Amino acid sequence: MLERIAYRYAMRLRNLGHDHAAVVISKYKYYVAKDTSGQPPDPIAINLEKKLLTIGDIGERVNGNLVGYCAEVRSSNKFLILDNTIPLNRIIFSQAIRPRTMQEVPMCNNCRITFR
Amino acid sequence: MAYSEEEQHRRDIDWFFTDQSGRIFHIASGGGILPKRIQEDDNNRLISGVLRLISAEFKTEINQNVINIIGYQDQSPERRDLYFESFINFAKLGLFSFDNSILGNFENQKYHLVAKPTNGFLNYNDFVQLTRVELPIIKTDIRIDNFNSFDLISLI
Repeated sequence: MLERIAYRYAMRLRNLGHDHAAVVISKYKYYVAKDTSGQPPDPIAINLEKKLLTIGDIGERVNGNLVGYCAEVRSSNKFLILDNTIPLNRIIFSQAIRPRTMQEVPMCNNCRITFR
Repeated sequence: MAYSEEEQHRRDIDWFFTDQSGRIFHIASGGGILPKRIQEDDNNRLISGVLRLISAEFKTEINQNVINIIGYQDQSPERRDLYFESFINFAKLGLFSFDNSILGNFENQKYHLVAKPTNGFLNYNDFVQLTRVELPIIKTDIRIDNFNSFDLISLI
């Protein structure tokens, strides 16, 4: 189900000619959100920010990637901001998709640390 | 305006350069970091737009090894076509088109050839005449008969 939504979302951006590096869908119980990679969310949920800061400053390059800029962070923040008691390791993510090629993009190390 | 780290991470940027023999290279960043010289090249933002002015239709060839590089051995022909489409379109214009080999790693430097023109190529002088846009001229040893993934960034 999540994979299908992610695929459709990526296909729509592809057809519109958008050049996002990746899109992802996140889910926790009845919350479902989608987003692309981009600027760190603002405001950012307290529990998410706290966890990200254990990796590095927001925007800092750690483990080969920029902390807080991934589609996983941006999409899950949409419901974490409404309920910051949601355990980060219980959030389910679709496979991230690259719209240009519709390839699956592996989760980066920072997101693995944050959500696993 | 230079590309910020945020923009490079967020976007799947098309970047371009020419080499000493007048071949034009297209590289899809896949959210990876750009070489310093391209980060500061304001013209790069114009090029995708001006390529629409070119009506060339070269014959193209795809790198058959790409399927192995991107792990698409079990994917359907439709999924494979979705992968190739963008790169074939650049090769039809006479460009040598490369892709990021390792997605999800901002610092990746490995790229692979995806598609190339087979009956000649768009010469840089013709490109400038048609578009009035200049590309960075980079002396490189990129081999277009190398069908494997290689460290492209260190070569430029």
